[in-house]
Amino acid sequence: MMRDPAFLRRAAERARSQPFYLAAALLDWAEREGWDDAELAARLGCAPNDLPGVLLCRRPVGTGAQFRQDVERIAERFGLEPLRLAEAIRSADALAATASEDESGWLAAARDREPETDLPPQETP
Amino acid sequence: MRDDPPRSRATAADRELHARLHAGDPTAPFDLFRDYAEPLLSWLRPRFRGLDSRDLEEIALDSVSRLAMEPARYDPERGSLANYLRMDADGDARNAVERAKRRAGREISLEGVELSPSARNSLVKEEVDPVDRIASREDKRVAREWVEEHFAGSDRKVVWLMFERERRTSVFASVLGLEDLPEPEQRHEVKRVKDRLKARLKRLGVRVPDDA
Repeated sequence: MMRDPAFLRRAAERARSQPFYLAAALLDWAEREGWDDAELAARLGCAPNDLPGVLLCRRPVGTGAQFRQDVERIAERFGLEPLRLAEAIRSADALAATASEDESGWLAAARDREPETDLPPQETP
Repeated sequence: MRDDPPRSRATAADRELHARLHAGDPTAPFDLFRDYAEPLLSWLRPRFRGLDSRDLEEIALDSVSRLAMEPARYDPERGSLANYLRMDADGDARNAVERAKRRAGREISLEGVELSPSARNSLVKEEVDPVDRIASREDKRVAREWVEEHFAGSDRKVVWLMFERERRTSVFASVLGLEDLPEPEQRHEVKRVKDRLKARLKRLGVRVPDDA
């Protein structure tokens, strides 16, 4: 059993290079927004100690139902609010898109991505 | 990972986690990291002492990450999950060692090879001594042992000649197999080799006179 929280955090940082992990989306999001771990955890509504665990989860994928199921599974595991997590992922994706695409590309990406969640938008806390 | 003996069978926990990975449970990668990464690193450390601890950590994490992303790489029927990760990481670590050796060969560096106790004790003082003091020591054996531990092939011979305060280009050219070159080219090549080795000696903490 992992006993060194810092090790788990470094694992998340290493996993950040793989889009497979939530770390890729959420850590880039936090970096672009200028947040540290505590602030990212607060945005996600999770305990700071749970943040590495969330980051090391597989990124929710698939169709709307699959995406929602993945989000709910992660949320249940770490005691998160599913809608808040889904919104965070969507925000991270949107910010990444604006950073790397021109306006028309961003709009296309948003149109493609939106139906995947099947979750209503939530107000940012 | 726990404390499975080598080549042990997959445990019930191994099978359950593998099944979750295979089924796409998004939280399964976290459990894989949490339960297997640190023990894997603990297994690697004593086996690859020559590798940097950060490199070893990355090797361990990358092995775990690969399995999380591609669970089909592991077959529970062929052994425990811990053993699979060990084999995977062991291969990466061996490759890292080979890369380090090749790099060392190019740089004429023997980093990772520890000095013998006698040489180490001697060099505690020698590190700030000029070459001529090292070369004039009564115990040349210690100096020679140090040279042999830090340099290989013709470099070892050239360094020893420098320690002996040899000045003749022809002697260095002979050691370097340059006898057939015209004398100006011999001088040029000998100087190039000596400059490289002097830089290496300086990095090792030996003060080298400019005229060495």
